[in-house]
Amino acid sequence: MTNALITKGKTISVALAGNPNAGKSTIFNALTGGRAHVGNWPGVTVEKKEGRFKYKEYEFLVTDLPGTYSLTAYSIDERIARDYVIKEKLDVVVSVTDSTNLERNLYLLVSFLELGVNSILDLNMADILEQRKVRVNTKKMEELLGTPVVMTSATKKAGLNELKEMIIRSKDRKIQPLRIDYGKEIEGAIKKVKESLSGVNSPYPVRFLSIKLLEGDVEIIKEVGELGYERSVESAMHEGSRLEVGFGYDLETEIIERRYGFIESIIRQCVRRVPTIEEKLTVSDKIDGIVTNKWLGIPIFAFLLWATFQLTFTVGGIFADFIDTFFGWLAESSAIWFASIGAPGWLSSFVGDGIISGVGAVFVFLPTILILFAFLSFLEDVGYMSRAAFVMDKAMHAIGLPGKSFIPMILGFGCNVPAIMSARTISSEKDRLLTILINPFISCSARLPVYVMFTGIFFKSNQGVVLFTLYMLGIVVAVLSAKLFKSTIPKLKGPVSPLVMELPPYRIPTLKGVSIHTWERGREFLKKAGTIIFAGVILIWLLASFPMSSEYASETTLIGLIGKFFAPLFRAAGFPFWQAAVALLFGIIAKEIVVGTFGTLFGGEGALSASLLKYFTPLSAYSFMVMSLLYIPCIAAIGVIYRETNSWKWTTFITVYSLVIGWVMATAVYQLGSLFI
Amino acid sequence: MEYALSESLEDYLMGIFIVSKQNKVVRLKDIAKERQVKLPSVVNALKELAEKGLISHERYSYVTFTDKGLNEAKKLYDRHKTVFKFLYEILGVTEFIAEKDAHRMEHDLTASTLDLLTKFTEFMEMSSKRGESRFPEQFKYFMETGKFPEIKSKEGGIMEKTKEKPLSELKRGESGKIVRIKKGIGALKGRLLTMGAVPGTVVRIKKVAPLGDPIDILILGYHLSLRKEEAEKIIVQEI
Ligand SMILES: Nc1nc2c(ncn2[C@@H]2O[C@H](COP(=O)(O)OP(=O)(O)O)[C@@H](O)[C@H]2O)c(=O)[nH]1
Ligand SMILES: [Mg+2]
Repeated sequence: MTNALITKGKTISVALAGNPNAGKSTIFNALTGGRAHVGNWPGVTVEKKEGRFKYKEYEFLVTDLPGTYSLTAYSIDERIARDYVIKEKLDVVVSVTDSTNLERNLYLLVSFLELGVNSILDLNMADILEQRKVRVNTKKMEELLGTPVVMTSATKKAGLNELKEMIIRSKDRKIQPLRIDYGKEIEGAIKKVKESLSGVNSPYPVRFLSIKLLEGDVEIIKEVGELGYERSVESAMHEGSRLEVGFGYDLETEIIERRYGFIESIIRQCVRRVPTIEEKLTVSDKIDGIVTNKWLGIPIFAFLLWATFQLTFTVGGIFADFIDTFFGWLAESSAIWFASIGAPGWLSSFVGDGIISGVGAVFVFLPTILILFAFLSFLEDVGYMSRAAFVMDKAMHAIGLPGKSFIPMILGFGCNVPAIMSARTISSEKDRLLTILINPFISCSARLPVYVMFTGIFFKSNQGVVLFTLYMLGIVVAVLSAKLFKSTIPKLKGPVSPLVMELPPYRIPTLKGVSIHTWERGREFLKKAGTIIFAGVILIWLLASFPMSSEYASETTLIGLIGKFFAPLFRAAGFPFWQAAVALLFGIIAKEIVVGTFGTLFGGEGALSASLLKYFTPLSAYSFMVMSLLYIPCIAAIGVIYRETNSWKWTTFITVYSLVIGWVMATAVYQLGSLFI
Repeated sequence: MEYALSESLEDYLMGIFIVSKQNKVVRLKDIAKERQVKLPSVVNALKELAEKGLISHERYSYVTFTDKGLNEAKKLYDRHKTVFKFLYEILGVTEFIAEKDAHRMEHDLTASTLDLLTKFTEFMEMSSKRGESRFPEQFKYFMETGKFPEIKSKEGGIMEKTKEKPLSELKRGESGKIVRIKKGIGALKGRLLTMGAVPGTVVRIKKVAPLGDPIDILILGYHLSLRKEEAEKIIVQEI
């Protein structure tokens, strides 16, 4: 027990901060061994990753912060990172930098130092520096910056012990905020604003506040105002206009320029580049020459998307069959076993029809989902995703969305829930709202089970093609809806937010990085499956079992009655039988439950395909898939839409809208199809 | 240098270096083309360079540098580059003449003069990049008007005389030095500045997206994509 007491006093809290793609997550994974607690930041829905590890007698508590370029919050991600660093009493902030691009990467560190944050400069990607024969004088850098410097190579796990040692050594360091000389005039202005701020009660150093006020940082202006120092805001504005008129200064520009000047002088003094052959095309540029090529860019993008789904389907199918067989065997064995011990029929049915077929219906799609996410995280880690946004921006722009909302759209193919959350990086409220509203039409992987089931039975020879058309339909509906919303809803009118997006160098992703990412997504799916879906399946079983006098899942059970009530609505769409209506109803809980419901209603995996063949034609199967694609987002998606928009009005609007669109499209498909077939 | 290379050999060494930058392997005929001489002269020169231990060249094979030779070649090449830069970028001599005169100057000037010239060029580059001095602009103004510029503000006066245009008007492959970011564009300005688009930074248009927009610019050694709409807010000076 004394052990626990000792370790208690030796917890070190560390945050990893840095530009996007600097290698924060790779370092996080290397430090924690990939074991992370994934949650949300309070009040918002940006993913928060925390992990623990032990080194020597210390317990480290690490947080992987969202990527950020500066301390001025241009997006929610940046605000979270900034607030966390400023307001949390962290022991150490590790500023992870891509050392192959120090000039821009150091900007954030310099801001931390000005803020007086206890930070360590981690020059990551040291392996690439070595390759390029660039040498960094870390001793000198430490002197000039007044902060410890360590070199790491996260993918090669080099320098990590040094990093840990350095964290331990510097955890109790006394910090003096860094002072950059902003030149005589600006320093004069800083002094004036500082005076007006005397006595202010704020977590920020006063000099930092003054500089931010002069820079015109909106958030800081608000905070200072709320502290009752409007006077200082006015003083800063006065100083600003005085310098502007008197000296032609633009303060914001001037201050940032000075910071870059400071960084440049540091680099000049500490980085020695052995003359290499300049101007040669780098590998990254060569790849870009192809994938963003005028003629090839879009075809390559379309091909990658198509290939991803084809491969997901074929390879995922092999594993899915295996799992399918396994659960079928399990259900049968359990029935035999229950019979042998003479258990009541309802118990055997509860386990076989309820639990096993429900859980099986979820697990059977896990391989497909894992493979899909492996592809998506691979493309993300390689650096292709931002190229996709680059290539597609103009097209997205045409429908009134920024290229950035392309990424949520792509993620929507995996799951609309994280996709809707990822729309947070879009800084404009309006663009974000629009992106969120159309996202449910992007066909998520939970709908894949529905397609897999139907295409496997009705479109055996061209599963891939049918699947592709459904995905395309989702995209088309999303696009047209965006157009419609933008031209009719006042709040969504107006120009798209500006595009300022880094195209990171292509990197060979690590297997570990991709698999951790993939597993996190898979786990997310399983968690949802484990709670909501399982509850849903049990609920179906109950509804299908009561009243007990009726035969299981027959027309006279509760579920049958509900289904019968709604079934006539779907006559025009080609599936006017109560089982389909019931399946759709429960699909609201989560779309994959549609499959589980059919499984339960049509008596388990074995009998399923025979029953479906009896009830559906290929055409009505297709229109049913269209309905499943478009109607009402699942409960989890509705929940997240509410959280992100913070408005029941928008949430209700999109729920009703999608229901109507789903019905209209399914009916149109069936009616038009009937004309030709 | 403990050994002196003749002017012509120095040129050969540098020529081989330039060829090696452009091609995977160095062939005799490429050197001949680069130096604009006939093959036999190349063979002679190579023999001499090989004797001095700067290159190795077996008959019928490609030319490769020895470590010593590569170092020497790089030194010569860098020297050539600075002299060229001094003539072309600072004095504003035309490219063709700058190239020609650089070849002459690099051999004829005393080492210490060359050294100072190099330092001066570096200094001018830095000072204009950091935006701390306006010597290059002032000099241009002086050349154009014959008058020493009266400067009060960073944005007025002399700037109008040099060629300023929005970044969106540069074509693929062209470069510009950032003069300022337009005002009245809200948070976008701060965003651009913090990403490194501060006055004095040199940017180059690397690519244009397949549909004609956005563009990809190289800035501070990384790639940034902007729509033309955003690029229009960045005022650059052509270089
Ligand atoms: N060569 C090299 N690549 C790295 C290193 N650290 C990270 N990477 C790669 O850089 C990319 C971005 O890393 P990631 O950890 O996702 O960056 P984050 O956005 O900061 O979390 C991934 O493809 C990594 O494999 C390193 O030290 N060396
Ligand atoms: Mg990350």
